[in-house]
Amino acid sequence: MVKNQLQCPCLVLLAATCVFADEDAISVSHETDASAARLMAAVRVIEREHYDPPPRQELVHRLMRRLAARFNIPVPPGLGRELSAITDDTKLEEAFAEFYRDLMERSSSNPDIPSLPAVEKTVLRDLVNSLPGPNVVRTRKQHVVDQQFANNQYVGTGVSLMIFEELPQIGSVVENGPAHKAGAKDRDLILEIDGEGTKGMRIEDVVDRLRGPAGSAVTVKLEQPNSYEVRELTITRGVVPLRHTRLLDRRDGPMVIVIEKLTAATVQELREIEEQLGDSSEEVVLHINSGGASDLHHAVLLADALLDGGEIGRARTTSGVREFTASRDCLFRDHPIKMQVWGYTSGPAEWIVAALQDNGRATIVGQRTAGQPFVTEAYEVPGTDWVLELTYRVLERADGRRLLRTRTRPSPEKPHAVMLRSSDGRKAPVFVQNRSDDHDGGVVPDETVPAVVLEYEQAPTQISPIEPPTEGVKSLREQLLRGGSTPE
Amino acid sequence: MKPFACLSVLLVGLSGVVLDGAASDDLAGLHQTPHVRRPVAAALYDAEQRGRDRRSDGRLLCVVNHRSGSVSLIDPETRRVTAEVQIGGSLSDVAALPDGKTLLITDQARHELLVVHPSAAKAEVIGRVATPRYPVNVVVSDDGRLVAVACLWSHRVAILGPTTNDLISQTSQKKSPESSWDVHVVRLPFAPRMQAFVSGAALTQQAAEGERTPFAEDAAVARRLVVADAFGGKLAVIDPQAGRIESVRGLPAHNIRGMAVSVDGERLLLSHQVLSPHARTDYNDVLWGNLMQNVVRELSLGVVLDADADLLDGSRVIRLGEVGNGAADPAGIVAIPPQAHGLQPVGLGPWMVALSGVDELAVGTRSVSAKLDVGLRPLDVVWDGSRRAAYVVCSHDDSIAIVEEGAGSDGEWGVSRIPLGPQPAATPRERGERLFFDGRQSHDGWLSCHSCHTEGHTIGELADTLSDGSYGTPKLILSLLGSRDANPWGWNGRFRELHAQVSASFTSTLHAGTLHAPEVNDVVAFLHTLAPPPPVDEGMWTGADRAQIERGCQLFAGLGCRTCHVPPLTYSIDLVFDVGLRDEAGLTKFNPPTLRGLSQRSRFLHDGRAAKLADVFIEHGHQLDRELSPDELAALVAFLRSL
Repeated sequence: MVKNQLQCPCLVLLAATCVFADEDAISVSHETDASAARLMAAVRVIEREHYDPPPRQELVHRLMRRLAARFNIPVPPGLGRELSAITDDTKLEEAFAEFYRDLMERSSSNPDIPSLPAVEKTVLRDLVNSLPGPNVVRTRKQHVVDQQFANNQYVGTGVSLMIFEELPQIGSVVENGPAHKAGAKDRDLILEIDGEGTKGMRIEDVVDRLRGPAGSAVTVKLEQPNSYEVRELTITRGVVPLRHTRLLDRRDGPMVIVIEKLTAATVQELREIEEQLGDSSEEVVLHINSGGASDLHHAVLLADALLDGGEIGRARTTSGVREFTASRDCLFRDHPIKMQVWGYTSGPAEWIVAALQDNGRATIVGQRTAGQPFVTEAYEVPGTDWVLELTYRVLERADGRRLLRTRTRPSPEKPHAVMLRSSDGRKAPVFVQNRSDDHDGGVVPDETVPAVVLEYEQAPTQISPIEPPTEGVKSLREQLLRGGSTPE
Repeated sequence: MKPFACLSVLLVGLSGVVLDGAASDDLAGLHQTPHVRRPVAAALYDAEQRGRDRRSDGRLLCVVNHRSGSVSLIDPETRRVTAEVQIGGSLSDVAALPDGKTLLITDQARHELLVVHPSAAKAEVIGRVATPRYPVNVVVSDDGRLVAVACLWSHRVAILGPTTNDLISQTSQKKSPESSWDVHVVRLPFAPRMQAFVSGAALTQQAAEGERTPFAEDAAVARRLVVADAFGGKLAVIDPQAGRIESVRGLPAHNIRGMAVSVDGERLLLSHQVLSPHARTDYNDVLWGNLMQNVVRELSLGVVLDADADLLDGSRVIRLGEVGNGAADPAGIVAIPPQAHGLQPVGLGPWMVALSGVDELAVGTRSVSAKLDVGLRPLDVVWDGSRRAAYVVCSHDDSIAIVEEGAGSDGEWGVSRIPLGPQPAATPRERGERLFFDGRQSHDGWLSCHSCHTEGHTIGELADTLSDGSYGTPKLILSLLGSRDANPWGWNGRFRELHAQVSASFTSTLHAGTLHAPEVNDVVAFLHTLAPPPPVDEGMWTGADRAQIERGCQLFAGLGCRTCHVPPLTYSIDLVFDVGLRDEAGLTKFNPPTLRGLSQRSRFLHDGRAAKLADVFIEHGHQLDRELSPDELAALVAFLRSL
């Protein structure tokens, strides 16, 4: 009895130690299993929605390889073969979860092991990037903002931001936006946001503080760089009226319309430009500055608006093909259209170009397009904060001819640039340098040109006169930059 | 085309029927009695001097009321209603003869054209002419020699000649015509409404070269009649003398509710809507005008009159709506002389168009220059050149808005109102009717229920709504006429109650926000009053036709069609079926639509893939287990078109 009694406390202590140790292990195991479940949820979304997904075993294999790489642990040989042999989905998921737990256990003594959320995010991004076409991982919050931009319904204050001498500065104020209406000006330094000094704030934090739901208010203290007058404004957040389609004011030559971003408002913006052109029937040069992923729906609307009847094209998924036909109403009916394209023209923009070429509605000028006619769609991953923007359709010409390139080789040609130059001599490059690859897809232009330089009128910036500071008064800015309490 | 030989004019020596048996005046003080009138059209007339229709220097205004069957006579000078006289069942349109003293008024309920002599306080019906069924529009040629009556549900236009002066002289002398005069009845492939007589230089040349016409006295007449589709976008050109259709072409348009010839006579102005075949009824597509556009379209008359030309050659679109103010449901349009103060004589001169969905009048030339608040649901606009004013018929508040140059506080347009008389408290049906036609129920006023369900019917196009639970699956817009008992609602039968369908449509299609339960009840009450449309050939069947219809009826039963299309009320059933069709989202079970009024539809099956009724069986083999012979097919189609 005594021996037992002596042994009991030790046992209890050991048991207690084991319980606590096991609780940590159980906690880690639970977290790992939860992470594995989230990653498998993403795999299921990819398998279901991507236009050309690898088999599930391959997706899991890729996840495992990337996990192993993140933990600096070599991949077991024959892993791929083992996974290929598993045909039951539940068993596959169990195998993945077990692999993940094993990795975590083997890495538990490594002080440099990244955090689980960081690993999860990186591994998923790597997996999504490995899929054909443009694919992106976003958070739900980011997706909401993306959708707002896509529909030209971005809710905020309507300012662009930069950092100037440790303080956030408004680069430009969107005309008629909430900040503009409240009295904010270009180049205003933001000294306080809702009573909080902004010295040293990261720009992401400034954005977070300025953003908010429509109708909510934010109070800011602003100051022009060369002035000591502090202005306090209350900005009511709302829809910011952004324009993504511009009519360039050319001194000579045809009218140039640049579609910087394809959104739900693009056709309406073009209608307004058409109205400005009045009764003229001069040539219109159209440039869609759109690469990568865009909404197919907005592309169909734009193609329909530019075509006078005829077939637009086809969209292919794993389940079939959908065809689109244009209605008879069209914009710029009496205007010949020239469409500028280059090697980065891709996605739905490429498809629209092909439709205009096939219907004889526009002369295509420039260089062969990218040959990447992909369209993405956003899918929420259940039980996670993720939204996967996956390539879900490949676009084709109306007669079924492929736009997607299958063969690529680097071109010996030197890269070219498409630039805009303002009348005051400043160059404002709009597009990055072109790399003209030789491939078998895309749209071959009717007229090939090496580069396009456009000039436009730039209105000179007006700078307000500077008021000298009242003697003895310290500016709020100086106090913020040099420390000290924020004055009332 | 069916020329009516020896069509006699029915003489009515006495005045028209009035509510209380009084004569042609307003002894009973009808205009002071509370009742619902629903004015729909107006014309100027002058009892004392000559004037011209619609651009007249006549002094008085005659307004025809659809619901009450009465005419309201107005003195614009005193801005008072001088009389209201009930003369018919359901008046639909009015036009003045060149003599300025005589009005032609269509009665949609009684299928008649009334010849009326109005004065300041009287409206004497001096003659009635039987027309094809459901007359809704009447126009008179500039010289008064031709009258055209568009008859909606019978798909016919009646063209009266050789001269309306004969008609007037015969009827005013209260004696039977010594010789009958001819009426051409032209059968159209669509339901007609708006019309206009137009003339062209080429036609004049042909007439000068002595082209013979059936109307022997009209050899020198050189004009055509342009007729527009009441629901879709078709435009027909008819030779009125020969009674022959020269062309039927389509426009990207629907709800063509205004038609006018420009002052210079070179262009045809149409006010209409455009529904995008690719847009969704989601908030963003409504907001940015991607779903619905409300426009004035200018067509070159030379192109219109050239049967081989593309109607859109040389055309121009003026957009009435903009982000923030959609200008729903453009209606009556009038071209006004460019000398009007404040309006620059640019090209073809200014115009005015009623925006019936947002209770406004738009004024413009190359673009909209002003939008003025008028009364509820403005439908028709009449220009009075002598006063430099427009009279706007406002149907839903029984009023006339007077829009005058220079009368505004800023020296621009001023608006004043003339109520036609007191109205009773609105019933649920009337409140629901208001909501149905109110474009302000949609985001930014881009559209109303009427925009797609014209007067409760259908424009015959596809719309991508959320009624079927998904976007990317556009479906044929269904007619609401006679739908009260056609449960369930929606192509997938998703809505067991009409209230649920109405509520969902206001929320997810119009983006009006949530409609309160009493408002939903009101809309349903209104929808319940909408009877199924009549068959196109109602009242025209011969004995042989009836025998064929009977054979078709027996075939309908024998083929088992009655399993899903159960007679006699709706020819539908409260179930959904897999009939071998599939939509883009994989929907395979569909709610069989009611077959009542089938002859009034232009496309069939959920996505309109069948362009003709026969195609439902020939191309798509709908629920047939054997092939039909040509006779059987003809009989079946005849029966279906008789419903």
